Amino acid sequence: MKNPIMALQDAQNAHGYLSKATLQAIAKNLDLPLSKVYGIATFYHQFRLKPVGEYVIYVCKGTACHAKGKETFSQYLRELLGLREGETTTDDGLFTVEYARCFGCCSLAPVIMIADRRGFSSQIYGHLTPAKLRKILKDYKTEHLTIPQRVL
Amino acid sequence: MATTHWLTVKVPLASCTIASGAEDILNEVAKLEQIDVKTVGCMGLDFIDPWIELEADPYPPAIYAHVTAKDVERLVQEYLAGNLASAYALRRRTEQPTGQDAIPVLAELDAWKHQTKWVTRNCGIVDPESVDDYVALGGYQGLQRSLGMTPEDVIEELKQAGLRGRGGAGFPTWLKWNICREQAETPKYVIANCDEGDPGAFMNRLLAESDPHRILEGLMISGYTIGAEKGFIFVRAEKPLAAKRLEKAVDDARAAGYLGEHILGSRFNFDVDVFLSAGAFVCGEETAMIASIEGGRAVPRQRPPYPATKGYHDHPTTINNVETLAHVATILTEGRDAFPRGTTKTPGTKVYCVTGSVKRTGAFEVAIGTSIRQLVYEIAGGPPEGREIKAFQIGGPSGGCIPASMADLSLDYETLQAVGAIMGSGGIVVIDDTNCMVDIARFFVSFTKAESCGKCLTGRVGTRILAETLDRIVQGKGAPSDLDNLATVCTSMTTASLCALGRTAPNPVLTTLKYFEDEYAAHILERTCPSLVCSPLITYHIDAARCIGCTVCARNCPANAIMGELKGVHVIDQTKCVKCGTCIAVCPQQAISKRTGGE
Repeated sequence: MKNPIMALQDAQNAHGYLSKATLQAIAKNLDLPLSKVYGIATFYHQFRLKPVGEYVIYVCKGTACHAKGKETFSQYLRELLGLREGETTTDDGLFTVEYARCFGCCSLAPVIMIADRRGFSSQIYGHLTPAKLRKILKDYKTEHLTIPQRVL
Repeated sequence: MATTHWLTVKVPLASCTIASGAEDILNEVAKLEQIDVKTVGCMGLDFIDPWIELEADPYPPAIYAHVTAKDVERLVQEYLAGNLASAYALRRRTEQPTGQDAIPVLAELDAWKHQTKWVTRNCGIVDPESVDDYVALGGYQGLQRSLGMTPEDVIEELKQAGLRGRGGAGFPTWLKWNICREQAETPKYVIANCDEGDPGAFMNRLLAESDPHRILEGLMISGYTIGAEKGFIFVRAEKPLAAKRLEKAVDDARAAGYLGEHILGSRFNFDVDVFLSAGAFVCGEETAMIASIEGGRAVPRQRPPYPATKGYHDHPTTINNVETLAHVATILTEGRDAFPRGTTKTPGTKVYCVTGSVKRTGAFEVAIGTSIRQLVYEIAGGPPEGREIKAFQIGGPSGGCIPASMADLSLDYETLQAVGAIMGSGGIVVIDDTNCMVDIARFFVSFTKAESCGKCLTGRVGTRILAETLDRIVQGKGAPSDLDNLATVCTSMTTASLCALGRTAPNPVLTTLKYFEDEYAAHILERTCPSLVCSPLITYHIDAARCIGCTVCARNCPANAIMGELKGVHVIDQTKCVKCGTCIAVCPQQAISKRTGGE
């Protein structure tokens, strides 16, 4: 039997998020109750049940980033993007702000990672300042940057 | 380039160096002629990222720090002309007189000379994507040697070496393996834990990205010893490069005959799956990790039975941290006598990640028993100019905050536990005077609250009560009775929680209460945050005497909370201010400051 976590990972990579229909299809294929699949999908950080913007900005919530002012920095990012209380995706559907535990790039704190919605490619930006952040966002907005695929 | 030299350029490709521009450097290097490019991992000296290393006869190999793509051509030309003045350090001194005596050798640098390179010896040297390169540097000899020994002899070797688990708890590795080996039931399984969940710890990522075959070799030796034919590597999807390198290592090892049937001509059959963790801190608990590999929610269960008797699908299973497995491979290769000395109770080395308020951040491998002072002040260089260290946060969210006055403590399992911290994974975040200890405690508790799996009451509700109480305190709404309540809840959690996550989650609160009670008192009794961190208790102000009316702050304020005309004094509208701190960062006159209390 296929592992439900792997099935959810594959589905999210294909669609960018897990819709109710996707969860139902996985439950049916694996012969599991929907509640069980839903339980797994909501347990892990990797899974999201709502569509996201073209780019997902993960703000690192790690200790080193926190000590270097993550809280105020994340507030600044949200203000820059014009996100209102409770919102995570910008009105134009370009950016979604999420939080990540730690990318292990603590020496570059504060850090964000920008990933395409399917999670195939990502780029980490470190040593962030207000000016650097504004430039990064501007670059993504105006040039619709493609995030380089990792050299492997 | 008009030269007959043949140049080798090493470019490090790891998460940290890529984020600081190593791929641009690689593209630039690829344009050069008559060179060999070798991609390597990270050597742990994050403060010099991105670096490159040049080597061509007759010059010594030279490491260059903070390289950008546009420096590459110039540095290569200089190097090939015999001018090494721009180098950060030489990998080794060659016999030929170089005339460059002022350039230090790596082994003489403070950041390097106090280290004991054991499991990280190949990091930044071996090509992590080449099994041949690993073998050329002595790789898989530990496996070969093990296969010539009986499993009992391998266990005896680890027992004599005195290896203890490097994932945090420090359980003797030989004992764990022996219990699993003695189980009659088959099949058995071995699991490498690369689910690095502690914020501030990246030694597992570094090993997986820079020397993945060493981890794999250790896992194979554990499989041979306990009698398993199947292994898993459990790695975070959040660390994609580590996962890809481990997957490639497994594929390459299989192609080269190190995995599969009759490995190296023996009767040992073994194969490995890389399992991408979907991300949950509680997976660090071994029964939770097994539940996750089985495909369900990562919820721990009561132990005993321990995984050594009933683990993956109720079969005997051994789980080791990847750093432990790297130790195993190195000990079996070098022999137990070569295992570096640590303390009497704990021989060997540990990789620590030192970040936060230090001059040199990075991952440093030192002998167990090295003092915090030597690690933080000598190796990592102490705090940046003008800053003062207040505390060391050791061991991640389950660890504790130790005051700077205790810097002479030895870094070993027993000493750290005695002062309320834990070795944990070995992350050390150095906290300076710009940080508020109550806020730090709140940060960790909000982390463990979010990561609690919800199974046991003390884990689920205890973390919530701690978080809500600390939230009140940092908002200036705390009451003196809150301190007693915190202590009571902490005690319940440490005694009654099901797993280590719940039992250790109070450590940040207990240690900050013990060592930094004055900061709690200021928040509760005076409604102030002496470190000027907790935003509900601080306000921003512009000094009229210093403000030159340049309008930079007003233009940068995301909340449009700053008013004033060109060349006129600016004022902050306190009702609009979101306290993001941008104005302080951009003001050229240092005219903006934070205040607490009074208003």
